[in-house]
Amino acid sequence: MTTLALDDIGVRYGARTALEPVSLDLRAGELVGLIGPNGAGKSSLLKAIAGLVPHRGTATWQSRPLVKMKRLERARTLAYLPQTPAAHWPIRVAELVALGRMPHLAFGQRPGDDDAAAVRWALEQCEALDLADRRVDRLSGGERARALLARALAVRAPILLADEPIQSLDPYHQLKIMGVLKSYASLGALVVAVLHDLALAARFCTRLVLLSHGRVVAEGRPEEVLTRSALEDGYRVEPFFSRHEGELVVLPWRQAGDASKRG
Amino acid sequence: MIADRKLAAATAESQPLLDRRWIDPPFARPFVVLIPLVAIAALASIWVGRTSSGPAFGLGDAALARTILLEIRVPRTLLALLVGGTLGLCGAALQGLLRNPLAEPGLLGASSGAALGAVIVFYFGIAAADSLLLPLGGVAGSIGALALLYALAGRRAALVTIVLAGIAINALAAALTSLALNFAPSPYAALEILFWMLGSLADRSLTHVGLALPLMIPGWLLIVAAARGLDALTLGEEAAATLGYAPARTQWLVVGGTALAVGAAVAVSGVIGFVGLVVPHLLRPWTGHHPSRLLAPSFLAGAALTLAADIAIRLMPPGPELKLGVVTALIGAPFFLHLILRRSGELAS
Repeated sequence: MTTLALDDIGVRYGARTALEPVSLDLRAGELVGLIGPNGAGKSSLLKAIAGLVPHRGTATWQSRPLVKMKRLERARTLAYLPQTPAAHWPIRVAELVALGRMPHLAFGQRPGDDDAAAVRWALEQCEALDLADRRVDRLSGGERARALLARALAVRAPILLADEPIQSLDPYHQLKIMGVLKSYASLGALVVAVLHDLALAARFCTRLVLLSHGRVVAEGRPEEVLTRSALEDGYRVEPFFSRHEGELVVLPWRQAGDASKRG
Repeated sequence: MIADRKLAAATAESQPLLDRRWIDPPFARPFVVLIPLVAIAALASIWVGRTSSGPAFGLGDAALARTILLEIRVPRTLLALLVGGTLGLCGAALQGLLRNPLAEPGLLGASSGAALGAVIVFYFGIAAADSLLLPLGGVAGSIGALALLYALAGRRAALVTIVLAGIAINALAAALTSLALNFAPSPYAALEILFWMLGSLADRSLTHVGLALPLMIPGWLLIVAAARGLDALTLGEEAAATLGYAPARTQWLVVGGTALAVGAAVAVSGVIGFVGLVVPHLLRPWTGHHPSRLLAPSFLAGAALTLAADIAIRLMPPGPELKLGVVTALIGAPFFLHLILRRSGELAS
């Protein structure tokens, strides 16, 4: 079984501990949701796996530590969508997405027809093929999010890390992007996404990891993680549970221990 | 007609989108214009000269021609080409690195460091204005400024730290240059320093070319090695790092390359401003915004612009020769202002 084994991954910024050492095995084919309140260490965990922050412990993919890989091989193995993805120059969307093919190109090598096919596939996945010739600075928020996700997909890496991929999107695009992440995972990739929306996390993720104060407080299938006590302890919210079409529906209902507002 | 075209596009739909040109459009077009342009400007630069009585064309009689050609015209043309190209290339690379179209080679302190190095040589009376010790001092100053930048900012410094350190180094170099002017041994020496700093390509020899080129070439190569990293930075520093192009590496390739190449350029020509700022701007509508696609065209356009400005100087009526740095600043500063006004207009709308 192909796994990303996280062994003792911990992050400190100076004297402040952002993430207590965590050990987890994440399997290919899964869409893993990292959930937890602000400052819980979700982004720190993602950045540590991506090698973007100094950290302790090792992340091992198919029994090879990611840090031991050569830089382009590692870039082909792991794609990362930042929390606030940028596009600093007003280039065409097709060329923006093509930047995701850079790890596949040797020094001085130009992209080829196979790279064009990968770009087209990524745009199709995100229903963004019609944006291909538009300038990236002239896109709406939802279009931009799809284009930048297509950039990350175009790497076609077996690991995709996405930091809050659906923040500031309308409900339609939230569902759209979650669907894209899920179908990418179903192709055999490991997708790890930081999420704040519990309902979408429950509905789309195959597995959830709940962090609070830099610790993993629960992990497993959504039904196992999203319990009343875990949400009250972890998020300090009282949840509302229901089922719709046979699936779990979770909503944060009121602040925990706020009896005065109870109706 | 339009309907026909749409139909054709729909039936042939999948084909063009699987072709590599769709994601990597051909970019030979700028070269078709820029290479002949540089060649024409270089030939014109060799053909145009200046005597005390004004512009002179051609090379005079055969006995004189060889001397004029090898000792006056060719060094001047070559230096205009190398210095202008370096400024254009480094300007494009720095704008890509900082993801800001207002960046300029002078930003990192390499130019002012080089100017200070040369002024120190002047000040201690080690050299007259035409001596080779002058460029050596300039190169030493440029490398010193880079070393200071490195010490201030550190190897994994954030970009903003590097820029702020560059500003501090610029201020320090300017202060020390003023100090040297203030205590200049004679008014004549002060004037000589001042004139040299204005930037000029007059009265240079092939030795100057030989001095600058060994530093410029490694500088250019460092910048070319950073080209892909600059493209990756379009997506921001974190995404660039996960694409295999660590920003720290790109950063030091560009900063080191600029310090070497611009330091060498300033050392032989004095400070020539605005070429590195203006050239990438003029080219972007034409080459696209990919930083890597801008590098080689910026070199050529920088060379063409500097050659043209230097030719214009020699076509001026007799009198004290206008300095090249003055001309580029006179053209460049209003252009810079125009850019800022246009950008603030974009922000307002």
